[in-house]
Amino acid sequence: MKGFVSGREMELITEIADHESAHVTAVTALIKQLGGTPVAKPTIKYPDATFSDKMGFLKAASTFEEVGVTAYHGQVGLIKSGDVLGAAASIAGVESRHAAVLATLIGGNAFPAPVEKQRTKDEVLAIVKPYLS
Amino acid sequence: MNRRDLIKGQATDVSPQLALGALNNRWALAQAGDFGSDLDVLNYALTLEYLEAAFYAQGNKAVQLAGDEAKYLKQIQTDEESHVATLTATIKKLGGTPVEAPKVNFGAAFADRKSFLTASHTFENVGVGAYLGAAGFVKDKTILQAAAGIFGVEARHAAVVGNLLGLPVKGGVFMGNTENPKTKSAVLAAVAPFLVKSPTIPGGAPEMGAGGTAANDNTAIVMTATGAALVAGAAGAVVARRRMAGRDEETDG
Repeated sequence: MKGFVSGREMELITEIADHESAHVTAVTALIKQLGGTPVAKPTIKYPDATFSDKMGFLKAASTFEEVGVTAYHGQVGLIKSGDVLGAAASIAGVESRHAAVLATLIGGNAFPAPVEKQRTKDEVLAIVKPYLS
Repeated sequence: MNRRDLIKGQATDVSPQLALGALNNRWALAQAGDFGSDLDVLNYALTLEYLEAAFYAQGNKAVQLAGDEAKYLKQIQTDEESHVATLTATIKKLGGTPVEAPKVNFGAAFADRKSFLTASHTFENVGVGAYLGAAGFVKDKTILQAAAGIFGVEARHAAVVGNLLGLPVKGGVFMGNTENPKTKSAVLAAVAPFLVKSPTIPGGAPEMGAGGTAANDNTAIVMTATGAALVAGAAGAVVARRRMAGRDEETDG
């Protein structure tokens, strides 16, 4: 993304990237703490257009963030542990911030609904499938 | 490193274990005794949403904004009015009595664009913290789902307004890599300057939480009362129930 994202946009994107790394660390640690085995990092393949220009990159980012938001909200009713729910909620809120800010950068809708929408696990996986090889 | 640093998300070199401890502590931040029931939490949330809805209804009339900025603030107003309708309908559905709109005075907040957006940024971040801080008290999963859904949208508002203001990316647009809960007392302290003491309750501040009614407050700000009546109407209630049931898949505006 270097070269076509700069200035304020680059600052925003860099901070979002840092957040996602922190989320990977926190969720991995949480899974281990609960006695589980974290899944292996998937092999990811981004469509060619993803990194060819600014708009392609920001639109892909927006898609991921919006899907992420609905994925978290889709699991609220299934989480039993209050601690896990608290951790997930505190991450979900940040994903909402990312989604809204990215929408403003691509001329999208920052506030698509008054209440965050939900997607089931199957619905989420169907959307991200093209990126998993 | 102290816990405050962790909570503010300023520490970037924390171990996963430590980070997780912070997450868990955060959840425990809500204090026992703050809320006696789900209805208490809902009325607490409704009070905050009334405050926000009134804030934007007044601010959007008083302050001239342009272009996208005007559009965003108008959208936020609509969202807050929808939250009032959703919470009111939910409380009634549970057999509870929704609190009345608090009497508000936003003072110099509408002096200009910057003061309006700055107050908005404060309200939205307080709202985010309030929902996260209270969520641990909610027992009913359906209510939790709705509260989480509202919480996420408040986070969207906070980030966009922070960005419109050109605030620092760290600590202005984003408040760390996780959201921070606020206790009820911290939330009430933050909004207290905007609440008008009711003249009918000598020496008493409007009751905010636990089934409070801001008794006899018939002079509750007209715009708020009107807005609430509009959005709490039949259509609003239907939308609210559909959203509560998680069946709302259409794309709004």
